[in-house]
Amino acid sequence: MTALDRLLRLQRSLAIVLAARALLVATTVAIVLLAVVHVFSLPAWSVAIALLSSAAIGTVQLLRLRSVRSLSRVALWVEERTPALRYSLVTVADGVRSAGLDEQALQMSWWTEAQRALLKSLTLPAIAMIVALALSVALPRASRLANAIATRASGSSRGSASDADVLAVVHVAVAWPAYSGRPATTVDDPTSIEALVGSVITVSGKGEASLVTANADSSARAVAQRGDGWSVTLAMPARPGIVRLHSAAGRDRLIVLAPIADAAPVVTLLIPAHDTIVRRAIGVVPLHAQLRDDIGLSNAQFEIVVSSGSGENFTFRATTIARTSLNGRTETTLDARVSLDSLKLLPGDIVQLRAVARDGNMVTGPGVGSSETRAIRVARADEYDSVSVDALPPPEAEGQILSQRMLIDLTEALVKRQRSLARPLLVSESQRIALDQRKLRKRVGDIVFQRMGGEPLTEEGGDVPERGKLTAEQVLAMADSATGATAGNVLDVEGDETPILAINKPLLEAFNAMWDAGRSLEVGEPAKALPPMRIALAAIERARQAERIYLRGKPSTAIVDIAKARLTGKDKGVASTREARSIVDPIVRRRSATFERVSALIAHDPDAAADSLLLMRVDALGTAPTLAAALDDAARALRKRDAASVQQAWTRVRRTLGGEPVQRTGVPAWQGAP
Amino acid sequence: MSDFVFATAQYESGDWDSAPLVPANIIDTIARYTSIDIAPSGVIVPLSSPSLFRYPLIYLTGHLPVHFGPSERTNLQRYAERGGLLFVDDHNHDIDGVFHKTATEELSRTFGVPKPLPKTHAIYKSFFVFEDGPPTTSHELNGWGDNLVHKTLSGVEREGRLVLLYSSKDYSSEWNYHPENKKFLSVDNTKFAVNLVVYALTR
Repeated sequence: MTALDRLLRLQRSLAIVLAARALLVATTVAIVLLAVVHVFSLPAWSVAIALLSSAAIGTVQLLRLRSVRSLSRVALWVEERTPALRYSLVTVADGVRSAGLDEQALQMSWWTEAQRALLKSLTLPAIAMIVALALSVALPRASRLANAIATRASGSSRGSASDADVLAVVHVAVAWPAYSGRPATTVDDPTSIEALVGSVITVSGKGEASLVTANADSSARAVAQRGDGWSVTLAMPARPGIVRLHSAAGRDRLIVLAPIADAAPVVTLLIPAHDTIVRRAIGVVPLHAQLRDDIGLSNAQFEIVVSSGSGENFTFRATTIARTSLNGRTETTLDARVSLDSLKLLPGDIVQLRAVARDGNMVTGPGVGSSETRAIRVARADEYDSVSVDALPPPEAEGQILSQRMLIDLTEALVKRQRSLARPLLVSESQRIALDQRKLRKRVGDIVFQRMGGEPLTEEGGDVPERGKLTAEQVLAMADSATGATAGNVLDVEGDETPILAINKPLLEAFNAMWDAGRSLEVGEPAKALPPMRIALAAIERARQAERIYLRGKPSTAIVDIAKARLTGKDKGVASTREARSIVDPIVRRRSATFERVSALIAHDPDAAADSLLLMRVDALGTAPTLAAALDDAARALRKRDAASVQQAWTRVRRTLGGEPVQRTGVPAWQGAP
Repeated sequence: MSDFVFATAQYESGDWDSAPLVPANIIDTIARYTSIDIAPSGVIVPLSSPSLFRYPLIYLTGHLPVHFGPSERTNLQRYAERGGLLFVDDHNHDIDGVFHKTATEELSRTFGVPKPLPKTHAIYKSFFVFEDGPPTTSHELNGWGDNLVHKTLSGVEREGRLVLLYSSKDYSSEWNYHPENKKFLSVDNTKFAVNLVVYALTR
């Protein structure tokens, strides 16, 4: 190898070493700066500055590579270290070629010396980087240790102006939103603050503001100097969050922000109590609603929607009535009357009524609550037979009719007096009741037959021969003849009996029971009349409580020929595979895993464990309030270092995480070992 | 294993039976494209009835205002907890219409507020792949109702599966014809129904 070859090789080595040295120096600087940022919890932009600074220093180091580009300068660098070469190497580098010169340049093993020097130049930066790495790992732990010592030391001299003490005592003032009307509150040393969304939270303490940094929702908050203390002001967010306070001495304080959501008003429509069908849209409907709110109501009103039409053509009208200002009352009622005449309703129209209330929340609201909707439908002429008998008071025309209950009372009274009465008098009084029973039976019969479109029964007093007991089939046959249906083509047959028969069955049962009762009363045997009279009363009650049935007609049923249609489609699809559902809720699983990690942390860093519990609480506040409360208790107990309380709180958290035991039907109770 | 039975919801208010031919049409479509054992006719199930829990997919439609009674609401909440899928379609195809306003309010109260489903949702890939999200209906293209082409369906999910699917696209009108008439269509417009059924059966 010639001297020139050796020189060129050294030039390459020099370039590599200089580059490596620049990298080592830049990395060392970056590690040191990032450690400082971490220890002092400097804001996120500090990281960028640290990285840029280290890159700049590395670049400056790389500029030294320019000197290696000249082979003569490399030769001079060697000649400086090996003067015995007497400029032979520089001469070779300048391009002079001669065997004597080469021999002179190779007499000394200068390349070994040069390599040693290169390695030596890398040693210091490498050591610096290792030290920096070690410090970056050790510094945060040392900082925590120093904080702990400072905290213990400051326990006896609380109130001094040392850095550690700026977070020793923290006060929180809560100014509730004006609409709530609640006075401001103050809490000392809280782990969490519960307040309405939008409340102004002021966290304050003693000491210099410059020694405290505050973060909430991953953004830095301004810390202001107020007299001899510091303070941070923020609004209660809509979602649970955390305020992280950090002192220059490295102490941390976490405060959970637990927002209280303003609940929407609860509105209950008491009158009308249920949906109604009317034959004619006349009269006035009273409306009565009960309103409640946790903070205060602002206003309320009734909303009315009238829908008209059928099939694909519907029109709607909407209006509001009785809009009332409630001036922050938490509980009140709302009353109004709506005139059906004024709504100009037509047969088939539906009036939907509901009460709506708004609260006074001007921060996130207003919250709107609405009641159940009630429907008042105007029956069409062709569906009168399906209009239900509602539990409404009887019309005035029927007010004088003796009720079945009263007939039973009269008969029972007669039975009690039976022994003291002469037979002719007993028969006379019994027949008087029988006459009333017959009239009532006629009314029931009229209702049944009118519903079926037939004429009322033609019995009048005792002059007209009576039809006697009727079977369901006879009634149905009469209904068929009344509506013009043929015998083999009955109305809307569904299942085993017609809807017409199903609706009227209780009344038909009452009709027949009244017939039995009347017959006994006619022959002067009131005691025998009582059982069928009671059966009639029970049947009438059942008819009153019968569910409404709309005879809108069954949709036409198309039976698909599955075998014919099977796989005749031209397009092909691919069914997705069935996915197994997780047995445990993934959120619960994640929370349990986090809690296990926190449990492992108690032994060597209880403060960090308490902070982790508070972070878990923030996560649980929205969806698992019971767990959030248990976590808060656990964090408080941990802060107080109360072993007994910690154990209890831990058990409570574990039980809440696991959920209550679930009793599953079908699984037999444990009976012990067989 | 018992056959899949297509169920139409009957509710106290409104006109629940406004699209009587949709069930038969969907049943025919399921038979055409899949080997799913399916009953040849659908059933009508009251929302307040415990029999609701027999059916993995319930179809609900109408034009008129919707309000659920307490038993209907409670039953629907249990239905969702037990793994059912309620498919609600606005037969008015009108977001200003009274069905949409009342139904979305009732459904929000029952299930939570429906959120738009992304085009990548599993419902659009469960059998046929609909790259552009829900298929457009002729009623939207004709400018009827609210004169909008709704780009997405909305829904409520529990533990990664849909419990409520809400449509403003008026599939009730689009699919409300006798299955025999499907032969007159160049493109079968009921294929999305297969995705609904397969999704309900596999999630």
